[in-house]
Amino acid sequence: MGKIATIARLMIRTGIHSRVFTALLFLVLITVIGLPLTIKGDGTAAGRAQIVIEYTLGSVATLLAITVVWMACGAVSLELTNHQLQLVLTKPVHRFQVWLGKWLGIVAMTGILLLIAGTVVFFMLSHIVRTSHEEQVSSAGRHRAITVTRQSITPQSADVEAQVAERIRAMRKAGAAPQAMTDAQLAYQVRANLRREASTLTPRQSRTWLFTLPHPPRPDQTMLLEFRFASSRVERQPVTVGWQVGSMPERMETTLPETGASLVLPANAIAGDGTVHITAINHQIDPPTTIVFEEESDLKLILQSPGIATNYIQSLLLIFGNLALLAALGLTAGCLFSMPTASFLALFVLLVMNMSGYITEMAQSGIVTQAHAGTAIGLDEYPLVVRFVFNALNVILQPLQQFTPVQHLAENEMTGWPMTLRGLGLYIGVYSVIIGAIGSWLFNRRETALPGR
Amino acid sequence: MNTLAPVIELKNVVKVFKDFWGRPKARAVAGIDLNIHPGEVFGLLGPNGSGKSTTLKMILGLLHPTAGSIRIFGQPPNDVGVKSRLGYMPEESYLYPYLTAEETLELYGRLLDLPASERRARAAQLLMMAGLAHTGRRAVGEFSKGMARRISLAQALLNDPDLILLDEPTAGLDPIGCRQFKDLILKLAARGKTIVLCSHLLADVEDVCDRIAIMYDGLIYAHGDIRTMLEQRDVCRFTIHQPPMDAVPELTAILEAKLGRKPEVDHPSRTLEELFLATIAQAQARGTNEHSGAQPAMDLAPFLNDGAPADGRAVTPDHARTT
Repeated sequence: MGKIATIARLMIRTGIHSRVFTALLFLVLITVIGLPLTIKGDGTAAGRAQIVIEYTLGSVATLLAITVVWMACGAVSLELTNHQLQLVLTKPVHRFQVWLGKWLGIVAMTGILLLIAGTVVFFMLSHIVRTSHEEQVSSAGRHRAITVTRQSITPQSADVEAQVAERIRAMRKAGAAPQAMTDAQLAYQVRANLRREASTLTPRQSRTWLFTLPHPPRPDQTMLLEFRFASSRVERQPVTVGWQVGSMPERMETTLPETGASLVLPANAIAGDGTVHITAINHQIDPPTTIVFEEESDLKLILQSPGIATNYIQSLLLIFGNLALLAALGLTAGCLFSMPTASFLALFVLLVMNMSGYITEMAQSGIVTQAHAGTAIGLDEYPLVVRFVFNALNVILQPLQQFTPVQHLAENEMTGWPMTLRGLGLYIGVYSVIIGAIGSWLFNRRETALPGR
Repeated sequence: MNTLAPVIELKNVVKVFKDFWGRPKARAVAGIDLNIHPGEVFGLLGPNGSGKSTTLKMILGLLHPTAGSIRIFGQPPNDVGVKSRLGYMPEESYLYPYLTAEETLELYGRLLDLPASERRARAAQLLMMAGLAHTGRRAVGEFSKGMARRISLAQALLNDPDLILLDEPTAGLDPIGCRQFKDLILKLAARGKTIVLCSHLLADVEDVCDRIAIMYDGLIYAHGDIRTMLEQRDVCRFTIHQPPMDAVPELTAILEAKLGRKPEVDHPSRTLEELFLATIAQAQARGTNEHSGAQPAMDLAPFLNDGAPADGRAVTPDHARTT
């Protein structure tokens, strides 16, 4: 452990001496302090708070992500070019200790920078709260307080796969399905249709959603139902919808389409088994209007708690975990290649990681492009190697998609300790360890004194 | 023949450098066998590109042989245990330029797992030995080449190694520094250390080495005991100190009568190094003791002078050097 700590200290010293740390600190502070001054919000305190979090903290996270990759790539490759690592490697040090020490050094430096940025942003948020009255309703019409944390619960989705298979069989039998479309392409469309049907309410039609609470609301928590729908009418006129929560009497709400709205729910709306049944009845008969809850997020139950400090720390920890993973990635690339090659490779991987949503969508739907029905290209039409790469990338990247700390924080969404620990476990305990093991193995095999290096 | 197990054992070692696609690019070492025994001062000689640096880096585990095997103390070069028994002084300064001399020795001392008190004591002794006691808090990046060589040597000796590998140890040093380095090598050898040095400076090698190998184009063309290899057995020289000059013709005539041909008689000259060192010694005796850089020193650090190395292995100062 002593040797690893020595290498880590040396890494920090290198970072400070090369002025990377100082330059980065300057950039981070410029971003944190300067960026909010250049972006105009919606005039509300909540809007300002959202900008500070989403743009400022988001920019800092991006800046640190790119820098940590670059710094990690150079940590090994530059020292090999300058021969300093050659001398270190003639000492009784395992190469994995060198890798680990450098990773810890980079992670420590990045952690300090993130902590500084996070602290400044937090004080800025506190300042916004102090200098403005807490706003309960934003311009979007949703309840959006600055100093609350919201835990979103989406309705349980019904298993539609049996229905999908049945419909495809029926379509094939009736000759209604285009011959060129594969079963995967057809299933993708049928699934989307079923989802649309399940969220469409014609006049007088009702639909019930089931929400399962992860835990009973604490006394300090408020339960809200947030909803948003689209209407079949071209002109944007209010629509009346009746909402029935559990066995409570129906409550009529008239709201504008495409606009978020919310209802405060009493604690007794929860059934004994921890579920909440919510039924929407479309009462818009004159003129007759059909409403659609287009997105899965258009209807959700919110458990709202006061205070954001814990949530803020959890989000910072998740950002930190992501940076630690990127450090491992850059370091491993630097163990293999020279600085420019390693940087390009690591940044390419970073780009692929940022496209993980698109990759997962493709891998899961089996559809690569879908301009309109009939022109969709199925993934199964691609060569085996392409399918393998997509599916492998999906397996690797999908577990990380659930962590969007900046977005969560900007929307006051609760991260929670289970998700934070799961995130840190995945970023550091699984992915960084695997990448580190690969990096150390490759570094162990690498010749570090080749001519011209 | 040295009966002790070799410290370094190379068997049919080949090194071919390849390009990115694995195609052979250059053959640096073409199949060499070499045994270096405990207590030897061994010189690896050869022109540029002969493969001696590549050989040294394979011994250090920084390059992997394409074929053949390398054993250091009976273990592969990458073995961490082996590395705790060797010291390496590279050709150039491979030190972190922003660390001071003291910090540099502290860094490598930590990597060598030396206890804190031992690290500090050894660092102080080595700085004194290297003549850098007054510049211990200067960043090594500010050092002259000679000072950088000295601190580089100090780090190589920090663990009191059994095997010391020196790559061009006297390159960039002034004649005084060269002489001090050579004296130090001899002192270390007297303590039972095995020393391998790569050098272009043949006079230096001749001064300190017991055995040499001359490499060319990746092969060893000559190797053996340096005195035996340099000795001209068909020539004999008499040396007479302070001869009566009027007796020289008479002695020459006697030898000519005995041998049947006239012997060569001349006055042997000092080497330029001896003249230079004597002149500087006189100047130093008259001058001040103010120095801005390395102070002449190079007395063996006390911890290196101990009867046994740090790990307690017995030293064989009177080791057999027969080959």
